[in-house]
Amino acid sequence: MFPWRIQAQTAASVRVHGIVRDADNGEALPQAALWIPALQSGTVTDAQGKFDCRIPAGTYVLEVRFLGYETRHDTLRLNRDRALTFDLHSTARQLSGVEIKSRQSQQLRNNIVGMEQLSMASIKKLPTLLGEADLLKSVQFLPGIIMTSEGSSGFSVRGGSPDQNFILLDHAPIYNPSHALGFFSIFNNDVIEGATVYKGDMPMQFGGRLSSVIDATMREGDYRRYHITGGIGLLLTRLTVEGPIVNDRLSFLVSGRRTYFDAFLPLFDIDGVKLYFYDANAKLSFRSRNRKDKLTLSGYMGRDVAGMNIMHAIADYGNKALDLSWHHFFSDDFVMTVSGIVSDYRYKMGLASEMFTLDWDAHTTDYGGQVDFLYTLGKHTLRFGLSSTYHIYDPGDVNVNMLESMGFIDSNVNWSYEQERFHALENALYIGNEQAIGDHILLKYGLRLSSFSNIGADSVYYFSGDGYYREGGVSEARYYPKGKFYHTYWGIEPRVGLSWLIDSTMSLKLNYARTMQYTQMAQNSTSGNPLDVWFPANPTLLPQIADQGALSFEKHFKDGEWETSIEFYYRYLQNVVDFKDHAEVLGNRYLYGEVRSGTGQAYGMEVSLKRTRGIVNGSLSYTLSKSTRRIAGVNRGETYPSPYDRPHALTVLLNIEPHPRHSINLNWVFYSGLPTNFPHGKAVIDGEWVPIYGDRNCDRMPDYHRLDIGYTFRAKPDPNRRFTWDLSVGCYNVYARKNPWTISFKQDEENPGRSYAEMIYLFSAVPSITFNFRW
Amino acid sequence: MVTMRKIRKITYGMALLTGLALGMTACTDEIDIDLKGGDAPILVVDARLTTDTIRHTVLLSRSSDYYDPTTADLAVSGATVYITDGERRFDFAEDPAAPGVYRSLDTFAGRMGVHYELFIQNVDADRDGQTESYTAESTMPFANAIDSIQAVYGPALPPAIVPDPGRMGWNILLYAQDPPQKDYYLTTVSVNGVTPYPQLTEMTRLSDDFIQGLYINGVQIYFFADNGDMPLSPGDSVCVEIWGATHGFDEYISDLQDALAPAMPMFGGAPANARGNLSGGAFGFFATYTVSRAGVVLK
Repeated sequence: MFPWRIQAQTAASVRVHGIVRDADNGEALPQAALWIPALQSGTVTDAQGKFDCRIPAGTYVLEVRFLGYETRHDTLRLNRDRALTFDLHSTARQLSGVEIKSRQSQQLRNNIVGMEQLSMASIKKLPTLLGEADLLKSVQFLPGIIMTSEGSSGFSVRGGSPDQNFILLDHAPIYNPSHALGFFSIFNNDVIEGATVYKGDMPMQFGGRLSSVIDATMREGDYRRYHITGGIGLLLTRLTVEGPIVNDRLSFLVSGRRTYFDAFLPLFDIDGVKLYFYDANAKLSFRSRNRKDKLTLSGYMGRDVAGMNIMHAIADYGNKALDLSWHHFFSDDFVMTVSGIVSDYRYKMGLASEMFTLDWDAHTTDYGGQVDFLYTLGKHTLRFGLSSTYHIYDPGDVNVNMLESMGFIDSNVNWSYEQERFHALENALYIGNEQAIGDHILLKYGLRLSSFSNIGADSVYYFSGDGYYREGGVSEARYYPKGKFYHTYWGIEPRVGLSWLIDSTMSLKLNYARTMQYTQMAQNSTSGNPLDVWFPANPTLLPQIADQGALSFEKHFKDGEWETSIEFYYRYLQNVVDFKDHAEVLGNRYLYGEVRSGTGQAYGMEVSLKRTRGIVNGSLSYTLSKSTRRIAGVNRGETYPSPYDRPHALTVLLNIEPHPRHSINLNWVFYSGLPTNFPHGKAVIDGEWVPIYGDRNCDRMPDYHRLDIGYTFRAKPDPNRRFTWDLSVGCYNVYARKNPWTISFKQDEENPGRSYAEMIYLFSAVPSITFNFRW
Repeated sequence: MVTMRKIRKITYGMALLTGLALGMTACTDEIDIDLKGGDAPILVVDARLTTDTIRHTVLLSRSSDYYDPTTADLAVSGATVYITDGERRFDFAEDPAAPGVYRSLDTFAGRMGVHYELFIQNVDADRDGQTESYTAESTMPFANAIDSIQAVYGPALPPAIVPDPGRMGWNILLYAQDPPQKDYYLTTVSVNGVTPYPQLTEMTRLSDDFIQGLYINGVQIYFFADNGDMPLSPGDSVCVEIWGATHGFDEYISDLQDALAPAMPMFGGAPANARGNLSGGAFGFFATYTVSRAGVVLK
């Protein structure tokens, strides 16, 4: 985010700079707005809460605003350079639509097309399944972003697949951001500061995924006071503790949550079943006295367990992430960020009986680091840096121990099915500039150079035959010793854009970006499951490349009360990955032989209308899109709809806030059904009706729509009382539409001449209630 | 004022709602789905050549709309069907009493290691007035015979997964030598001459990965529970039939079983047609497989 600087036209201008902070805990407020009505211009603070601009000398009223805080009006006499500090008091009210004039001016000036920001407060507003505020569920309501399967945390951005979204928590990538098969995400909203979502046109410091980046950050603990925050819901409980270790300098934040859903299962005669998840977040933050340095250490760990006492069956998966970051301000204009991350996604399955045991243990691990510089000079904002990540992909071995007691063998037999491990080093170097030309034009241009090297010890299988040389089976296997760089891909990813502020209410933006992706998920289904394996590009598989162009037009009315925008995009994908018919992706050491790659196209239009102020406020977004693939070896090489093609997507979010203590939230979504394959005919074989299918993805599931409502009742706002609470009641899918999750075709057992379609639907109406508190 | 009592009250209320919430979740229901029908019918072939010395059978029919309940007029008649092994030609003739059923004129046995070709000519499956021809080829695999089977009464023996150790019944155990090459086995069973699972799609597929080259020393392949669909008693005779199939036929059976199983979004890909070995877009398979049988009478 590059702050727009007020350009003084005359020589008699003064420099005004400083910081905007929270009056209670001293935390800097990023994206706070400063606005001078007399000049009809303003600025916003950067990620560290700082602002710096030049203003014509004079006396002005200055407004300082930030969402959730009381606005300040200060009269300033500016006849010389001034350093100012503004402390804002938070309000007990959580007003959704307080729109800040210069905030949307800032938005108009933002030269990134297709960027959205979500804050903890805005995420909390959305009624969700089972009443838990959830970042990834909120992301699914943004225009252009469509959920894949019901209940799942996976989503598709502009026709891309779920593995093309880069999900980061404090710089660390999270490979499977789902709990409970996707019904919840791993983001505990109590510790999330917010997230920035980039749809395709991502800034240069990001790469490695084609469709989107969700850059989420964890909050820092309060530097001045202790707090306890928590919530008790139907199925899970959360608790967060934070506070200073050294006053104003070192703070901590620790949070945890756990489900207790399985405690209720015996009530339904389901015994011997374990089903739970838990996660924990922690962050240690240090800031130097002169605020020139900030050091943070943050960590996350989470685990899902599903098990049955029978056969000691257990499935266990989870993420761990660690980030150490250092921000250093050489000056107000020159910032350096150094970060190191570790991210690990592990999944296990096991069975045990007196006769045999089975174990499968797989993981994907990243070790990475990044150095980033931001340098502002006059009308230019320069950004450059480099990053490097070492990947380990381990689909795991399946170990079976057959014990002598089985009876037909003479002694214990161990049998293992090994799958190849892969190692790789992914690097990037980037440099770019954002340049203001005059008062109305912002031009950005940049280049990202990325590379991906496969490193041994690996075994690589090469395939022969048609269909992108795979139909014929394995032709040879090559072994590369440990540490050998046996293959490297590299590419140049240019990113350019133009932003034209036509007047203070309208803007036009045009962008082009190329992104490259070197790893993909072997997800052969629309809903995904925790056992899905990530596998890298290698000598037999080229990296995926996306070229995206986007044009957007935004206009706001009545001082920002109404915002409208329309955006057009076109994406061309090369080496996009899909799987052949009857692909075996689970536990297959010849996985690369199941892959087919080709080209893809996606284009569409996203329209959005928002009302940001008033008792009734909210937004409406509609996306019209098309996404196709064309891959040799699939569908006879003819074009077919991508598995994530949904022509129509409409979301309506409505908030009714008549009183600070009461708010009602509604959301309604409508999606065209996902592409699927239904029988086009049947063959009668041995008396059974065997379905005959048409082209891949040529049919559609029924349309999906549902309405969710929520009502929140808050404690009486009292600035003298530290303890506050609220109670949220809600219902998911209020009119209980049975949205099909899967459809099967069956013969009627009692009437063999009849066949019918049967669907499984996940949710009828699901009520929820959650009690939240903060001290 | 917030008290422990208030928090407890809220917690109890929520526990009640959990029960309600869970009760309203996942279910199945019938649904009306319009299917695109009306495609021209294609030829469906069920051709089987085994090592038994019998008159072998080729079934020819055509496909139809999925919801169409009439299966009576699907038979394809008047076709010319024959199999060659490179030296001899075996002709098939349609059974006058059973349209679509073609039997070989001679009684003969398929031989292991021999490459067979099937020819189907003079067929108009799509009823467009023009006849088409189809071919397929398959090599009869090598396989060993079953030594014997035994019936043992007791709890279900491994490798069965045992949900209830107290469940008693009859285990059918297999004794055979697995040849050293990669084999594909399909098994079926009959009791007193009647096959409880008569359909091709209900055969059990056995993988020889675990037992490659080993002697199968009494591995349980069927279990008839006393409280199940087909309880057995002493005096019943059980016969196990094992087919030694080609890789292609095993894949075809697997595809058929997938097509008939309920769809699962988490574990399946896009449904696709069962892979056959017939030319010209015909559905089905020309299967050459060895047959070995063993029987036992329960005591």
